[in-house]
Amino acid sequence: MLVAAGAATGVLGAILGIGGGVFLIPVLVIGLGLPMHEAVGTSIISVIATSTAVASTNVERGTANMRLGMTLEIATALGAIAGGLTAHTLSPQALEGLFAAVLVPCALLMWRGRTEHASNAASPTTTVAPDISLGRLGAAYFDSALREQVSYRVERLPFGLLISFIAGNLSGLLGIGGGVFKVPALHLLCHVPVKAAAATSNFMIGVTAVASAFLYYGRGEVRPALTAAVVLGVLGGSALGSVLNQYLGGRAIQRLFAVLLVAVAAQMLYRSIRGA
Amino acid sequence: MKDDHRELEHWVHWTLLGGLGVSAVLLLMGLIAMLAQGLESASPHEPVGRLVHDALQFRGSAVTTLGLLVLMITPIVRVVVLLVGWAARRDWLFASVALAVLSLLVFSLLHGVG
Repeated sequence: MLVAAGAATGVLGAILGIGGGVFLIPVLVIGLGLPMHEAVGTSIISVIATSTAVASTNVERGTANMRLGMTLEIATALGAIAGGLTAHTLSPQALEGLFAAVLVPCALLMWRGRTEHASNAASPTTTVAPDISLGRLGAAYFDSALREQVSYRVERLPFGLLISFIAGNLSGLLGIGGGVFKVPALHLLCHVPVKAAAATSNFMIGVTAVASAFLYYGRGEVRPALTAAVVLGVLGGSALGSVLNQYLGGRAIQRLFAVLLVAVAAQMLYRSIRGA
Repeated sequence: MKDDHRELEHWVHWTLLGGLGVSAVLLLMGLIAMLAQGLESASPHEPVGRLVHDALQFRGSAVTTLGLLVLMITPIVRVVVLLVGWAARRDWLFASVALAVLSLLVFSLLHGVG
């Protein structure tokens, strides 16, 4: 049952381009009746697993910018530790209400097709002229969709650090990866090409999640057997979803699940208000 | 310099893949053993030495918990690999950044698990 729940969220995450936590937590809380704090603890560990799997591929392809990722990880780890410590002081109802609020922008991005799948398509890039320095944080990679080398500089780093702190904080509080906030910010504010932004965001998620995972684990909010079953399910589901994505990744499905996500947000909000 | 960077990317790739592989095998074996032995869980404050000892006795809960710990430690090892890699290349700025990230993770580890 738990493996199936993990697999279903893994498949959905891979098909829809949204991190698994957004689907996993409602399944664990509403579907399986798990307390919110334990659902967050379970989700944050499964986020480490999926991020590690995807990041290993992105690093090998050279799309993840490790220098930029490590720099922003200072902010995400700080935010995640603060979130993980704060979560302990919040009631399950408060966490459910906050989770419902975060689902809305996720649904909106999914409806507009602005999820991480945008990174799989050829996208406008900020290729710089060969005679201009890329700076300490800039990088270059080969874009297989564009069939050319893409070089970019990183602009306005303080904005990237600020958004990374907020994303890390939400990750520590709610057990999500936070990529839905980091990818648009890195692209729009720091001028990182979408493909590199998505890969770098994913690269950071493992460290971000670990920064709060130990806090949940130490408080006994990670049940080993349950979490192991979910992690194995999510890993299998993500692999299956990447294959199915070629056949099912259309806009209609994205919009269908965007509506479903709003319904889930309403249900979580209802639980939060009713239980308060 | 570019080849140096590629080499570091290979190391990170294999660190992540290796950690994930070991963890997945331990989780699978642990779950199977737990189903056979009963679903008793290990305490989060059980010392790692004790966990390893119990895992070697093939106690399902210990093997599962060890699998989760390997998964959680994998990103930390990735930070250490980059710290050492950048320090070896005398890239002191990013070695310092990696050290700062490592310090935060060690703080979380000590605060959480003690």
